[in-house]
Amino acid sequence: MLRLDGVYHTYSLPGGATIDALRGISLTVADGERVALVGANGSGKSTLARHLNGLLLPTRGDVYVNDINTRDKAQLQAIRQTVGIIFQDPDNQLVATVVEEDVAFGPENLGVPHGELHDRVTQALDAVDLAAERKRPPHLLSGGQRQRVAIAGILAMRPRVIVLDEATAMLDPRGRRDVLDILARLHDEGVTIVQVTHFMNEAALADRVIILDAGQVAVDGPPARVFEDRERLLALGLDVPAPARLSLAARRVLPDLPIALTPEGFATSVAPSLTPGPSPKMGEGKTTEDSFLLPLSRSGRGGRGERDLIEVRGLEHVYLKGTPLASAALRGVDFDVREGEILGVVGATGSGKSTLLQHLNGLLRPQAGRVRVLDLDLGHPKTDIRQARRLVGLVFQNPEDGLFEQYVGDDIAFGPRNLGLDRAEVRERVREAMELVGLDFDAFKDRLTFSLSGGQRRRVALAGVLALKPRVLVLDEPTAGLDPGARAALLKQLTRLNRETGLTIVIATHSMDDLAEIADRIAILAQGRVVLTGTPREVFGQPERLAEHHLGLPQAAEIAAALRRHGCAIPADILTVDEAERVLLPLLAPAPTPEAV
Amino acid sequence: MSEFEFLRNVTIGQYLPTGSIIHRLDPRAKLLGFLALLAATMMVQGYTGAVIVLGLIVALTLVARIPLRFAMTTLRTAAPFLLVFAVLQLVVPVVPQGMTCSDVARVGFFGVSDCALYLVGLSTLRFVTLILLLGLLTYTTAVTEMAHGIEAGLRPLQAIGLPAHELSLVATIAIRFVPVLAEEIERLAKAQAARGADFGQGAGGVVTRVRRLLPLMVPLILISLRRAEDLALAMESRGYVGGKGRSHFVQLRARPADWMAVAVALIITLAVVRGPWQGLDAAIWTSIWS
Amino acid sequence: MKITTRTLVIAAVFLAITLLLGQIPFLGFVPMPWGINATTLQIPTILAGIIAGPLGGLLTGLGFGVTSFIRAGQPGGNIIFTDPLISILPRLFIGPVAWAVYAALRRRNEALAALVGGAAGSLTNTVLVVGMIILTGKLAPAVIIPIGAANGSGEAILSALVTLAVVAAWRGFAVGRRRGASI
Ligand SMILES: Nc1ncnc2c1ncn2[C@@H]1O[C@H](COP(=O)(O)OP(=O)(O)OP(=O)(O)O)[C@@H](O)[C@H]1O
Ligand SMILES: Nc1ncnc2c1ncn2[C@@H]1O[C@H](COP(=O)(O)OP(=O)(O)OP(=O)(O)O)[C@@H](O)[C@H]1O
Ligand SMILES: [Mg+2]
Ligand SMILES: [Mg+2]
Repeated sequence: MLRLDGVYHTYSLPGGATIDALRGISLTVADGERVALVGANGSGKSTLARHLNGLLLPTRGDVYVNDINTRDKAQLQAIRQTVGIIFQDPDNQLVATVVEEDVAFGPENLGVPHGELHDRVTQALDAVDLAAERKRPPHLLSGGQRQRVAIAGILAMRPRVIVLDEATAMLDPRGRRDVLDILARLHDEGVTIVQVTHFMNEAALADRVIILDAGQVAVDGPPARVFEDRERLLALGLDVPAPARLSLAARRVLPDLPIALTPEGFATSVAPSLTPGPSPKMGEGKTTEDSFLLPLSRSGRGGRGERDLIEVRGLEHVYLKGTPLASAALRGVDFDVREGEILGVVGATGSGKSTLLQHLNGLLRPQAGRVRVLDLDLGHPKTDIRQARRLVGLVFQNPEDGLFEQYVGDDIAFGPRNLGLDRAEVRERVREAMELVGLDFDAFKDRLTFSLSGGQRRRVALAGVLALKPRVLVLDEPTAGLDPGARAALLKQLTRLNRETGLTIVIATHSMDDLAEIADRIAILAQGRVVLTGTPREVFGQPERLAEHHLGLPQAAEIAAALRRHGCAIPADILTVDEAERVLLPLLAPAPTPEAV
Repeated sequence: MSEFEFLRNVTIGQYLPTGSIIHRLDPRAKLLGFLALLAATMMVQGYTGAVIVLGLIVALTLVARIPLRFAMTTLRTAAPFLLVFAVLQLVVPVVPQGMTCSDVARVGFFGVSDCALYLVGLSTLRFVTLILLLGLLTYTTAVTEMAHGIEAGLRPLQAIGLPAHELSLVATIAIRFVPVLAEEIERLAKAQAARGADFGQGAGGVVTRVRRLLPLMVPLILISLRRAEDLALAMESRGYVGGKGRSHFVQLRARPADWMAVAVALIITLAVVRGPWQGLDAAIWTSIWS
Repeated sequence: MKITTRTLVIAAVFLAITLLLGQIPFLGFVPMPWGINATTLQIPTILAGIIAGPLGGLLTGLGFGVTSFIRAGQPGGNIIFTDPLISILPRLFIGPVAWAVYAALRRRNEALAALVGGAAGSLTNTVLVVGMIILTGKLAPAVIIPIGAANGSGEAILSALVTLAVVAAWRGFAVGRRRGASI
């Protein structure tokens, strides 16, 4: 189906420098295969993906689609029709202002006759379950729905191969699951799938995993084999998915255990070897009280933060109030932020997380209800809102997009200057803020902002808010779009800030794993109300409540849940893979051999 | 503080779907009719013709079932402009060659001539007509409909190199991106406000004022550029190689009513522009002033 | 001339920015110390010209013109733009002029090219709009030229500075004699 023959690709930069993004890639993808393409940032995944339908041509070597060389200009349309690509941001793929017209765009380009166009559009929209939305403008759909429109636009071209370049990266868990379901169905129908992803648990769903490293194929094989060598993956800037990690750990006891790829797979594979637990009977383990669990680093901190820094009562917010487009985002939120804690805010898309966060520093004023920050009443018209903004620093999603100064130092100084501080003080603030995010003051302050890498830019943006010296740092989806390495680094930085400076932190996120790692408390938002608050252990111990609100569990908790379904008396409120490992290993014994029975 | 909130709700015109016969016309017919009436408004000479055109457009507005108070709102907000214009034109008139004028009134240095009065009335009439005509177009034609109309209507001219498809695609993509970029601006503005930026219109020299603009303008344009580059790639990936050889999902079909509407509009235009109105007008005018 | 997909899309996205600027007071209008509001609406067209070439600038300019024509008939619109000769025609030249000036000067000094290109694009707009107002007999030169000069100078300065900042960020060059942050 796809064949790459010694493909090199070199980008030339304006200054005359060059980047070798691909360095001799040879591989074939068979008809009907499902391939996951993974690798660290900059390893060449997107560049490779763009070679698969001739968007880029190799500097050296050749790419064949169905034995047609992508250099063959006359066959360009045939190639594009055979191999469709879905990109990361649905907004940058949709052309038309009505869903069905957008889906028709590809077939129109192919010159498909008018009569057939309608059938194709209808079929494609049915395939992604969006028939009901066909007359709506895309901007009124959710991100997940929009990405499905983009997929429909490709399906309407009847491709044999679909390439997805991090197509799930910007979606919330539910949107991601919808897209993965569609992929599974297409795969069953025989469509070849090449999926670029940073999520290892998505890669585990493929028939084959290809790992790129600096423009070359480093590893290529079925996932169960690829995930056997965790050291190797860590060295490549990646990791194995949680079930595989536990399988590897369990091999210390059960050397023949296969590498599991899903929580269910793991549970099935270890179930026969589980010794009936000492105390709680199988299948009866009641959740929370079996927390004979390890004194966790975090568990002692519940007593912290007696004082409420922020108090929200009965908060309501309606966007575009009084117009036909009015939509209620908050419907009576009660919510507290305690001094010194890390508080996680989760909720399905549209549940009101961002709206709530914007009330905490007065960007939005309460329409009804009360918001108190220390002793400032933000609903009171006489309150000096600038003071609230100083106390509560708000970092928006993808904050690096907002950098505007030429030099890093000036950008970070924007806030302190707005406070009217004098030059020496501004400089001191900038220095401190940069140190807090791990950027060396002297090395970075005079760098051109636009020459930094994505991760560095995000840290500059974070420093820009920290330079205000806020008492509370509020972050909206701070890890969105980061690769696993950068994500881990950022979380570590935030934990350190919290521990060392006592900074109170509020994080809105879709990542339960992030929260399992760093949150002291979690608040769950659904349809504009806080429906559940508690420690991570309390919250994740109630998977049914979470499912009700279309929320998932951290990976380790998923595995625990699967084990419990198989009758293992493991506590349900396990949060991290390390914990799971410590609890599970003592329960495992080599399966009795048939003779012994 | 809802100072950022209206942002997602950006309109170009305000479509008002009443389902009238005019709303249901083929967009090509609407656009063509609009152009004809526009030409009539701009080319008509003299009061009689101008009043006829105005009457026609008011009639069409009624046929389109646009409540007259909508039109009145626009005119009311335009009134101060009209007034300022009128005063300027009275005091410093632009008199075409060959017109003989005499003062009607004079206060010291400033005089008002009969020509000026004649011209001011005519110009005001024309402004009012144009405002109503533009309103008629936007109230009866949704923006996407206009884009389809432009593409289908200009397609015959594509042969002589007119980029009909491209024009319509630019319009469509622009409309598609307005809400996307509005959200970006909202996010940027809020992020800067969270860092103490003040978007008020405070004092300062030109450079200070520009500096206040840059924190939004620079990132906005860079983000837009990145989105544009991505979209171009996605379009090519979907087989886009320009307008040639494309088929069309939306097909406009002109019915007899559409042809009739266009024909009527053209005839009216010709009648208004070519008709004997000017002579009539001059006769009325002289009879008033003498 | 063949319009590339990239040109077309950049023109469209910059047109979207134009549409937005007109609706956002703190972005669309900057009050000048001499008492007038300078608009920023011409800036995306200037940048489309510089970044996507003359055709891109032409397309954005056409869109800008058509919107200012249509909006002239909306509540609060500026009625003088109800004449398409004033609202549409002048806008077509903004992008191509900005591009030509920028392209001519950029080998010598890119920052200067952006600055002058931005100003040139803006002045093209002002001069042609004023010219068309006079040609169509809407206002006497004695009335409109002073108004045009007051607006035009502010808009030219504004356009020049914003164009410089954006082009510097886009092309990744440093502006000014000082190298490094001023802290
Ligand atoms: N248009 C471009 N011009 C110049 N260099 C580029 C371009 N696109 C990518 N590169 C460079 O080529 C290398 C490979 O980039 P590529 O985008 O393929 O990586 P990737 O594996 O997709 O990374 P990510 O995980 O961040 O998406 C990187 O060093 C990148 O900086
Ligand atoms: N500026 C706005 N104008 C109109 N409606 C808005 C605006 N911002 C948000 N909304 C609507 O308010 C509701 C809550 O949105 P909000 O952004 O707070 O949710 P969220 O939980 O942050 O979602 P996500 O996970 O997608 O970021 C949604 O229905 C959304 O469509
Ligand atoms: Mg990539
Ligand atoms: Mg949000």
